[in-house]
Amino acid sequence: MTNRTLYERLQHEWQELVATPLPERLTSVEWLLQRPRAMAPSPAVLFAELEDVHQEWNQFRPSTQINQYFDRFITAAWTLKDLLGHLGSWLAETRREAEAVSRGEGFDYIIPYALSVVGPNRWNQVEVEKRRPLPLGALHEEAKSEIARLQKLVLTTPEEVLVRISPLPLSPTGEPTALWKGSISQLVLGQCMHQHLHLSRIERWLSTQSPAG
Amino acid sequence: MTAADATTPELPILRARAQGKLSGDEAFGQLYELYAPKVLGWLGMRVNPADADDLFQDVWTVFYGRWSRWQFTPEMQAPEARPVLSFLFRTCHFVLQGHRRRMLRPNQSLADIEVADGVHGAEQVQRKAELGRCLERACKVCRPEELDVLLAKLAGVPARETARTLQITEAVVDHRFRKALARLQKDLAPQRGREKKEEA
Repeated sequence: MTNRTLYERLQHEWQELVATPLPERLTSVEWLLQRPRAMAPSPAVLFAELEDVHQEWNQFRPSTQINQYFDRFITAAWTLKDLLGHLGSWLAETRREAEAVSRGEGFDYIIPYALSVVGPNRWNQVEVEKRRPLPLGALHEEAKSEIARLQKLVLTTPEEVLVRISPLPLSPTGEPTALWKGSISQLVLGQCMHQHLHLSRIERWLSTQSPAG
Repeated sequence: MTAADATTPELPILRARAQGKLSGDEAFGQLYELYAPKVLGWLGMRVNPADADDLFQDVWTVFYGRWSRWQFTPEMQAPEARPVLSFLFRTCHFVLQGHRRRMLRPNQSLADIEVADGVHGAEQVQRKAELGRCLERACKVCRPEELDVLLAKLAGVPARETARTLQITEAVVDHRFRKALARLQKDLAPQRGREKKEEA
């Protein structure tokens, strides 16, 4: 059998396999909304979401091409370096919070989160400035390491702990007594969404930039 | 037929959604109908039936979340674009990675899990449809990374997306594909010899 014939045979078998009707329990998408796991994502789902963020970060590995845009302003106040620092700071904070919740610990700090002004601006600025002296490689390493730690945490923490609701340091009103409550799962999924939002904007922004002249 | 000259049936659904002719849920339902068998096929070749069911639901849970904020970019309008299929392939790969790492017991290597999964997968394929020997043999003889490439290619995932998901170059994708075929060729050769003798 030549390679071509073998591949055609495989294709034929694959087509037959995927033409086999789905088991009845999977024929409707209703199960997706009804099943309890839809509201409480499994560890594999959390791992997959984090891995997707990891791969997006890999597009911004240090290279001469990326380095030339590193100090360009991507928003009125922040350069590309600042925005990547911002993302790294939230990965680190998410990991710290998830670890504390998994150990059943509380928090001795709050992050005032003024929803009306889009995010915790003061906290963001402090964290961005801490990372400003760092090269792209260090920011990339921080993100990679924090994602890996979060992945390990979601795979090793019991599922009931992943979905347990606990008070977190985010304070929407700035009041230390009015903390945002959520689970590790929500924390991780929310952070993945935050990372995707900025990383896809960076990707679009990079496609509009011309090389340094 | 190659992935490039295959039609991309997801494109009309994506266009209809972008133009507001389909609601998010309607489009999701059509994409599910289109790709659920492939997702189950990918997973069924790699893990035991009970795990395949759970992971199948996990993959669609991830896609359901992402679909609600799906961005319809111009490059997705290219005739050969398969962004949803590529996303599902990537998610299957990640979900499987997470599942395997979670199952890993102390002193066990990922390779042990891969081999066990391959055997289960092959049994499942055999049980479910009494399907072709080549596909079943591929599960048993190909290395996991070769099977990833082979299954992606069979399902029509563009090579560029396969490379991106597996974090390898397109040249390595091609190399693994050829390696899978060679391994299968070698495995089938003596059996074909036996069959011919029996026929005679």
